[in-house]
Amino acid sequence: MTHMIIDPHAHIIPVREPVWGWGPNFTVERLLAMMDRDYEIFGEIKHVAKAVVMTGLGLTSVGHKSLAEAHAYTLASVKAHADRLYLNPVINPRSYVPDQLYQIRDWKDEYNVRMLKIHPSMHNYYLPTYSPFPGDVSKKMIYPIFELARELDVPVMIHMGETPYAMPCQIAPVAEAFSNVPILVAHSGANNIPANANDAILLARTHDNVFLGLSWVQPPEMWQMYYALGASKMVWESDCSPQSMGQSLRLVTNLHLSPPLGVGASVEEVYRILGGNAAELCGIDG
Amino acid sequence: MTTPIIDCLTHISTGPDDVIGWGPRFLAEDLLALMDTPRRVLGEMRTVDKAVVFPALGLTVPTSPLSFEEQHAYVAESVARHPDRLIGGIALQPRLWSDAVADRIRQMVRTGGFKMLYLNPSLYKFWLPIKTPSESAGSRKLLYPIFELAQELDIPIYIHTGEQPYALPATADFIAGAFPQVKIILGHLGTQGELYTIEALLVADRHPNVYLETSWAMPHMLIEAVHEVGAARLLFGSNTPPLEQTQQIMNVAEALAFAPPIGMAAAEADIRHVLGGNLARLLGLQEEHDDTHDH
Repeated sequence: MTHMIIDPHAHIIPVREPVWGWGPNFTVERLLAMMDRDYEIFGEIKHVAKAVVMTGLGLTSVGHKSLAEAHAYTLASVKAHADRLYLNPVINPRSYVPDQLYQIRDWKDEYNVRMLKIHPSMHNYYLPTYSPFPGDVSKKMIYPIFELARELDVPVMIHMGETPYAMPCQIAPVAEAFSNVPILVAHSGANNIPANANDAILLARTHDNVFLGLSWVQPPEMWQMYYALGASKMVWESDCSPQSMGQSLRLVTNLHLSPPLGVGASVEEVYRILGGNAAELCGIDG
Repeated sequence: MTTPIIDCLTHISTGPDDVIGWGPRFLAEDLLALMDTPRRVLGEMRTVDKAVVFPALGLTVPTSPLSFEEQHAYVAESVARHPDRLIGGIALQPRLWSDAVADRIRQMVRTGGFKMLYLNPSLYKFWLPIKTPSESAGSRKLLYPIFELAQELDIPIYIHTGEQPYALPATADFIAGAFPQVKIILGHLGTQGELYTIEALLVADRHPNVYLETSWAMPHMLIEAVHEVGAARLLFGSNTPPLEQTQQIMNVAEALAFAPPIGMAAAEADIRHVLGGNLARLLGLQEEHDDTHDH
């Protein structure tokens, strides 16, 4: 396995983010500069080699932008840096399903599409439930996205972290309905309450196709993940912007430390988390 | 003289902490080795100058069979061996309070290198006082003598915050107002995530004697803290172990130093004060670090 660092969770936007409010921008040049900073990893200076980028989420939520309009800057940026950047289109199922989804099929090769992103909190919907209400309505919105993911052979990243729409175990019904589609649980649900990651750990233990993203996850839950799931289901992600990369990488490399500061994970396991798993999930060559 | 880096919250122990859940041990030497590992901070290779050390909290819970003296024996011994690097912290389970314990605390502060008290409402099982007399009479009886002693000795009290039901940051509001002369440090920026940070900031905004410690803090909430109460009341703490000092320094430095939206492009002098200058001033270490006067 190569020791390449891959960030499968980054956002770029040329203007102030219209929902979160952060700004004044986070351009592709700023993302690349962040990736190219010197990060000390096991005594070596390393850089983040590649990233899977999303647009600013708010562009898909407010302002009635089409899928293409919300992604215009991201598409151009990925194309301009095709050797380093891949696209994760953010799908607002209330606006883009079913009429605009076909465009992603067209983008697949031209714009390096390697994942699909859905965000139940940003777009106000429940994931499919076991019960028909609201499950039936949700299935009409969400199943076409999973069918597209299966067709394109890419994973689906699902934002998790808040009530009422984004508690990790709410993923279970769709994970079972599409057991051959890998699901990456963004933030492992830990971005507001760290203990929510325990919910994600149980989900990943019981569903082979569920993988856990590590942005916002605190060390105790990360250690629990390591022992409960092993390194092969843990995926470093920065959520940059707004998160920085250095402190986030350090959280993962600290897994190599002996207790009580880490779990004694091997160097190979740490690199698997820092890039190996993302490379396999997203089909990125080392 | 360079502004020192001082860690507001660390723990050392010769055995595991079976309550918090870390182990097998974290000796003073382990902490010092970590402090002495150079890391890049604001463009310079830096070590950590000093740390406030508390016992492993598991030793201090109400079910502990150890006396107050026994709970603090290893910390006291370590501070005595490394008085230039380690500052003693007293984790006080309030139900151990007695005249003898109060006298021992006076001695630890006056001659033993101890400079901070620590209270943990969750682990020690008490409510901070509220206004309703029937609810808070017991709490006042338990805690007021401790706050009076802190006032007498002029040392800050660190209050752990971050969970329901005992450690909600807003519940520190009343006692912060009742003892305006006592410096209160709200632990973990009110949380071990994001949920209660705003509460902690509101309490700090209302009371100039309230400070905020940074361990576990979400980066964007560190930015909010500086905007709300100013950098002068933010104190770097790592909570090592279980957290790791270098990562926690990076957490603070990157959030405050980087340009928006990653950070807030704070003045470098402000960041250095968060990393140690503020705590030096709070603990009366100015004589050793002259440039902490400049804030």
